[in-house]
Amino acid sequence: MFGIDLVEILNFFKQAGLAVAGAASFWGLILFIRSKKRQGEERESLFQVSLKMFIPLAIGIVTAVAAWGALSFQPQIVSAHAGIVIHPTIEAAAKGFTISSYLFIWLIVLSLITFYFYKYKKEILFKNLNWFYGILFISILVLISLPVWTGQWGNDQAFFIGHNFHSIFTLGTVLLLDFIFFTIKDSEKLQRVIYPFLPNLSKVIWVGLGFDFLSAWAIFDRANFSEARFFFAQTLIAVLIINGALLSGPINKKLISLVKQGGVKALSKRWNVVAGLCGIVSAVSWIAITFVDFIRGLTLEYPTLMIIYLAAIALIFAGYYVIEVKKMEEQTPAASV
Amino acid sequence: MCMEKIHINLSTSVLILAGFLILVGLIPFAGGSLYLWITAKVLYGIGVVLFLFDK
Repeated sequence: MFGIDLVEILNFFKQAGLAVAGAASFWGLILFIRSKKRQGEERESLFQVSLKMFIPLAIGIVTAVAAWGALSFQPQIVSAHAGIVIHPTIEAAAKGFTISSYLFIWLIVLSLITFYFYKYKKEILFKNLNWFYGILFISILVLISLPVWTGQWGNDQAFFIGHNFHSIFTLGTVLLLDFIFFTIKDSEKLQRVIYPFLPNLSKVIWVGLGFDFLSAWAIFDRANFSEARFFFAQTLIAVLIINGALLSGPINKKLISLVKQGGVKALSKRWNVVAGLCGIVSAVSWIAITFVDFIRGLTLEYPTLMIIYLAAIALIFAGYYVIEVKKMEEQTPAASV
Repeated sequence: MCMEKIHINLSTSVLILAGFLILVGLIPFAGGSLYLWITAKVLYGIGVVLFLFDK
């Protein structure tokens, strides 16, 4: 239907799962290391948020492993966000699948070990989170980077690696940023420490998107440009850049100014709505662009794709607006800006 | 209650400009011109570097 193949959908879920798990292990590691260098409330808050990363980590791993398990031996399709496409040979895809299968088994073993420590030896786990997160991150990074193996380290391999691993620092980090923002909304203590940290995630997302552009450049001269998917992907890239600039610029600065000088003021209704809308646009755009990446034979035209994309944003935003406005009206009036 | 004026710094401005250029560049691209699209990507790189050094 609409040129959408089940295998491509499974590949999308595998990629998205690994991106989220990779981002969760990466930021869990960073937050834990940062907590070690701090004292008091800051140390405790950073450690708490580092522990929260286990939730998206587990969800990401389960999603990726389930998708991998459901996949049959099919060529991995890789398409750049720009609609710039090269396809791997069957041999390269088969080699990549063999390598990734061993890595998936390794990831399952690692996850079971981590779960065992979480359930029965929490103290040891909490003292050595850097090792657990670090090993998981490196394993997921290698796994997501090698869906295809061409046999040599040339431009083509560079493209496949660069175009896949950036998902950890873009799609995965964007979803994680939304997760962090929404899970600390009710905790002033965590907001005080985490809001000033959020620009670091924005920097990584920007650099990650830059990697995507560079990896596409490696094969630009041999690429074929598709029509609707190309224009849709480019439109979303533009939306992501403009929206991301506002989110990581003035909106981020606003959040940080609210927590300065030891106090936390509540966001006004309008700022809350604007920040929420930007977060939703960011998440939906990255999911849409990654999804379209994997559906090579998509037959939908550009206007149809844009309508579906805008409708998804409108629907999610409507739900968010109703919940948030209701919550703000129920709360005791606090100092707001 | 009015929203305060928001301050947009250089890196944010450059990134927003890059985004708009990509949108505008899609139109000539259909006819074969890549220059605006490439310019947008270069601007993006400049905007990111500026952002990395933002205080």
